[in-house]
Amino acid sequence: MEGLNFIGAGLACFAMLGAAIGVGNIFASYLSGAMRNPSAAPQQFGNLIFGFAVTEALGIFGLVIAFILIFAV
Amino acid sequence: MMVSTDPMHQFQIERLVPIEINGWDLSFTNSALWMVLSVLGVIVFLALVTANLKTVPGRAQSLAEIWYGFVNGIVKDVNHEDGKPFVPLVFTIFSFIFVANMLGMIGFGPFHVFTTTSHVAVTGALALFTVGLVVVVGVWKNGFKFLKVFVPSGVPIYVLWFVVIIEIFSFLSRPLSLAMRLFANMLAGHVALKIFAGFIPTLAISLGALGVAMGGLLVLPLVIGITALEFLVAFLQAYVFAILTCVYLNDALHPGH
Amino acid sequence: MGDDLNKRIADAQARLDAKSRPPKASTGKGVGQGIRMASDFVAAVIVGLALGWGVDFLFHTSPWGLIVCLLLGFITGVRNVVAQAIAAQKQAGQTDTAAGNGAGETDEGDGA
Repeated sequence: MEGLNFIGAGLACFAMLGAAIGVGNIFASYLSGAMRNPSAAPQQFGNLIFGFAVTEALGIFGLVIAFILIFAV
Repeated sequence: MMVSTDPMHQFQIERLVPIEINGWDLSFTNSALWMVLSVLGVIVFLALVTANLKTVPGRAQSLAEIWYGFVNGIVKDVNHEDGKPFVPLVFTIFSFIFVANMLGMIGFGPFHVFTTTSHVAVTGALALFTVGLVVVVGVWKNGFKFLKVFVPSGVPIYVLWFVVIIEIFSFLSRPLSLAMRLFANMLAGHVALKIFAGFIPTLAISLGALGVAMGGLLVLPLVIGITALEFLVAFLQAYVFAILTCVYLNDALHPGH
Repeated sequence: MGDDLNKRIADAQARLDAKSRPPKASTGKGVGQGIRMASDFVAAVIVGLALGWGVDFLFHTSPWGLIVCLLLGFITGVRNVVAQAIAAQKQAGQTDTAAGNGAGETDEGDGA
């Protein structure tokens, strides 16, 4: 069963799809919120980055799995 | 039925003058030819234009003045007064990348211009040179204090070790980021251009008159739009490279902020 | 002599700066910033991958070096993006207040 780890790596990269949707949602919501109430936007900047980091981290976990399957198996 | 050739074919390196010394392949390639031509283009243009300077500049001279003033403005914005010695350096880097990108936008087919900045070898060398120079300038101006680049001020001592690791990673990612951005943008742009342009003959051959109409009305405007976007990207990449050179120089001149 | 000229240049510049200028269109700048952020993030993750692979290769700690260094690279990427976003926001705020002062209608200060 040569090369099945590459298929697994490709499947693991679907995690990045979810992360991309999530990050797009976060920034879209931030922008629409900031357009409605611009004076409150700077206080929420930290929350924006926090949400971005957590969402992107979940995608990166998938990427870690993919790289482990390619390089470390 | 596909007419268009392989979109990666335009990035093929060809040996124009094969040279081999001691087993090393040092051939003069088409990549080298277009690098030489872009450097010569910059030098000849600027030399001709500034040969007899006038107080009231003509068209060519004012183009050169705007060009120089633009780069001077970037350095002044980022580095203020300390940046003055580095204006020629940033001007050279900006001009080379800008002219190489713009030359790469010329023509496909019989008159094929090779885009030198679409190869990692070229952009990687530029990025390593830039970051290496930043390190040299930092050590020369600040000596041992240059290591403060990795130690930001105002961080509590118990998380400092972690921040230092992060800063080292960040410093290592600089040349990669510089090289990857320039090369990936030029490569992706040219591939997209070639693929979309290739749709038109494919449509024309497989669908006949309907295909010609579809290609002309739907695809050609898209290709024109992508070409305009590519001109913007060609300028932007040179601009971003120049501004990042200034930012990194500023970090090296004033470490520890 | 030279000092006098420098002073005159500075004076002329200050007079030019005092005049309110129309805000420049900044589409190109925004695109440039976006490209910078994306590639800085990805570059940091790739550096983490390369270092992790190197550590595993040298010390035979597979796969822990890869995991730890990749996560460190991710944190570095987020830090790069955050630093740049804060700098961009600061700059935007500066030009905003400068333009507001020039037009003489500053109805809100830095409330935060």
